[in-house]
This record gives sequence, structure tokens and C-alpha cells, in this order.
Amino acid sequence: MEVDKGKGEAEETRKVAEADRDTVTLKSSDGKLFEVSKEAAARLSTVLAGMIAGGSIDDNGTDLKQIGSEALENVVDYCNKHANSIPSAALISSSISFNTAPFKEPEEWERKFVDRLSHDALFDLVEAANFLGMERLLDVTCHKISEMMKGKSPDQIREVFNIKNDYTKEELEEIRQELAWAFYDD
Amino acid sequence: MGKTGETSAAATEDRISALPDDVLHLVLSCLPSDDAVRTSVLARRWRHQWKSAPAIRVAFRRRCGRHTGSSIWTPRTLTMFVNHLLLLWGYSPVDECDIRCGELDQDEDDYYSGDQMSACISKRTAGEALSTVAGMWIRHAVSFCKARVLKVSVRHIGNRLRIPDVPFVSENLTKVEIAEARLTFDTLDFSRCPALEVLEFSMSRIDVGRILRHLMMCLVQFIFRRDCQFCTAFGNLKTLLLNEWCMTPDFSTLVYFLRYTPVLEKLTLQLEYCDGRSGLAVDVTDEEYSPQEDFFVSKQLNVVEIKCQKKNELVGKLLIILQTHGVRHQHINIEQDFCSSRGKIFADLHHIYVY
Repeated sequence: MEVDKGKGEAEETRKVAEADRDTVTLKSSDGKLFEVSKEAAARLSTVLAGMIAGGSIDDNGTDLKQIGSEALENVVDYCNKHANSIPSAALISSSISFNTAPFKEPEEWERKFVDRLSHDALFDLVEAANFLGMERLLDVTCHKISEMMKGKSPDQIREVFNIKNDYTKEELEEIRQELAWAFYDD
Repeated sequence: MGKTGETSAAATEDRISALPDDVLHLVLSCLPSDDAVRTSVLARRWRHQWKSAPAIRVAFRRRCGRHTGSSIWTPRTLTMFVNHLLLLWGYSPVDECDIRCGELDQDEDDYYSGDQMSACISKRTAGEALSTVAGMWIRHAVSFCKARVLKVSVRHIGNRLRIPDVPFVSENLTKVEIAEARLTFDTLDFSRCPALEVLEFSMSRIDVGRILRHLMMCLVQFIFRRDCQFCTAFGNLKTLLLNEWCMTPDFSTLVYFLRYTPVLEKLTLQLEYCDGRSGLAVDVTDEEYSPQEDFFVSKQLNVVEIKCQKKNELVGKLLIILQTHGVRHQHINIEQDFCSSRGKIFADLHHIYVY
């Protein structure tokens, strides 16, 4: 194999430059490029952290073929907002219990962040967060979905999410009987 | 839920059922367990999902219809629901077991019972039965479901649950929050929970046992002896909330906690009912504080909150004690208009009772 010394050096300089940069470029499935703080990306996404540590970040845009541009824009937006958000005094003082709580309630800005999303955008973001291993964003988006279900009857939930009931009448009756203890107010 | 909560009218496609199982479980774990169980009837995809959600949550919920406003939970409905839930849950692990449903409503037959005496007896029996099953729920959640966080708060006609002696033995338990309960010191042995970091008892009555009928002084020593047996239990304790019950005349209980919590990070002292009410154990004297033992509090202790209702002479005394043992001034935060959501009716039930 022929070794092109010059090219090798250029590659080397480029890698150093890449390591020095404080942002990473991500590319959506439809080819759009987004820049995100390297620190926030590594902190919020286990997958991106792995890629940054493993040097598999592409300077010209790391391909994320599973994520559309709208969802990726939201991911990047979330990372940047997270990087900028200054935790309130209340949060600092109760940070200890937060660390041990499996689920931490969304903060005000996180609520607003997911509240403005359309139905489809919310689900695209859940899938993106899951794919990128973004635990916190996944918690926040799943919490939002749970709020859309809370206190609703099965019929109402089916309507909100367009879920098709594929049980037969008999099956449904059987399940209702089995779970009668959870349908106390019927 | 806000207006924006009703995200765009109708979905065109079933996105939620297409989510991976893990993500569905996460969604279900944010829901109260009754809502989660009821998702079984949505479609086949949802049949057994709730059993894998990593949280058990039973929250206060208002009834609609006949008794609008009152809780759907009565001793009977709650027992029925949680028993079924845990039985079907089996050994599936949970991160959090949160049974905080507040004041229960009375069962139907309690309302219409003509005979007051028998109604009284039946309420009492209901309370006792509830306490017994609650002990089993805690055991199940801690031992079988390996809960990391346990929160329990249930009240019936103003009565606390009398939690029976539950062996808290768990590698996983990191946080315990018990409110509105009556416990004994035997219940409070957390020495076999090596991961425990946060322990909170509020609105609880702690019985020290029958051995002590006489002096309050003995009580303090008793606490000492008990605690010595599980000193290691405090080895990981990072957050500690103490209320009036630890305000013994010479503050030795408080001092004891300060002494044996080597990695404590946050200490909260709630002194809601320490306002000179009769029967309160605290006696603030002008004597100078002379510690019996020289020691410094945990180096990590950087948040100390003192919450009281109004200017309270106790606070000055507490500050002296805290500072004597090395708590830095800038780490202490005093909140004077503190008023918790607790009911005032329980005002006189706030310190240790001795039989």
C-alpha cells in the first residue's frame, strides 16, 4: 500500500483541529447540518459521548441517518438550552435528593420546550432521544406523553394517540373482569 | 394540563404503540399505577406493559359522581388495589414505590351505620388492618421489587398508620420518606441498608418502646444506645430532616445526629410547633452551651435549613450548637415564615411519646 506522507500529516492536523474545537457538527437524515456544544453533547447523550471519545466524529457532519432535521434541530436546541440554563437556588439546595431520585420532575423551561411541540414532533424527539441515549431528554418527553394520558379513559387515550383497539369484545370483557380492581369507579 | 398540553388535535398515525418497550415502560412509570394498569385494555400491544414499568405510584385522587371531592381511596379500595397490584407485579424490579395518597375516605358502610359505637369499632379495625397490610406492602416493595426509593404517606380519619416492625433489608434502598406514620424504634433499624442516603420522617410519631415509663432523660440515653447499634446506618446518610421530636431539653439528640453522620450534606430542622406550647419537651435556658464531647460535623455539610413559623428563641440556641461543631455561618439558612402543608390539628402530636 502506498503511503502518502503529506496526506497523512494533513489528516493529523485536521484531527488535532477537530479535538480542539468546542462544537461538533451533526448531520440529519435529510442532509442538514447542526452545530452543538461538544461539552453539552457529551454530557447529555451517551451515544455522542462515545463517538466523541472514540474519535468517530466527522468534521464535515457526523451522519445521524435515523434522525430527521426537525427532530435533530430540537435535540440541538435542547442541548444548547441545557448548556445555558442556570439551575435555580432551590435546585442547588435540593440537588442531593435529586441525585438519588430515579425521576426528576421536568423544570419549567423543559416543560415549555416540550409543550410547544406538535404531536409528531414530540414522538420524533422521543425516538431521537432514545436513539442518542439522552436519558434526561427521554425522561422529559416521556413525562409529557404520560401527562397526555393521565386521568383519561381508555377511549379518550385511544383517540388522542390514534390507537386501534384490536381486541375482540369477548377478550376485552375478560380483561376488564381480570382487572376489575383497577376499574373501581366504573 | 395546560392548553398547549393537548398537542395538536388528532394523531393520524399510532406513534405511541410504535415506541420500543423500554420507552413505553418509561411513559407508564410516570403515570399513577391505576392509570397504568388500565392501559391494558387499549390494545394487544399494551396488554402486559404496565407490569414492567419501573415505578409503583398510588396518589391521592378525587372521586367524580356521588361523592365528588372526596378521595377514591378508602381503606378497602386502597387495600384491594395495592394488594392486587403488588401480587401481579411479583418480583419485577421498581425504582420507586410511592404510595402517598393522603387522607383516605371512609368506606360506604361507615357512612350509614346507625350505631355509633359499632361504627367507631369498625373504623378502628379498618385502621389496624390497613396498618398491617401497609407493612406487607413496604416489605414487598423493599425485599421483592428491590425499590430504590420508598415513599409512604397514608392517613385515615386523621390517624397515622402504625407501621409494624418491618425488616428493612436491602442493597438497593437509597431513599426512604415516611410521613403520617407511627413507628417504633425497632422499625427504624436501617443498618442493613448500606446504600441508604436519605431518610425522612415527617408528621410521624415515634414510640420508643415500653421499657421507658419514667424520665425523659432516660429517653435520650435510650436513643443513644439504640443508635450505637446502628451507627453504621448513618455512614452514608447525606440528607437528614429532623423536626420537633429531636428537640430534647439538652439538644443531645440533635447533637448525636450531628456526631454520627460523617458524610451529611444537607440538614433540615423543621420547628413548626416549637413555640412554647405546653407539653413541649424543649426548655430553652440561658446556660451556655458546653458540649460534652468535641467533634466537628461532616465536612460536606453545606446546606443547613432551619424552618420555623416565627421568631423563635430556639433558633439562637441552635445556631450556637451548630457553630460550636463547625457548621459555617454562610451555610445556614433560616426560613421564619415557614408553614408546611400539614394540618394544625396534629400540633400537639409532634414529639416523642413515652409509654
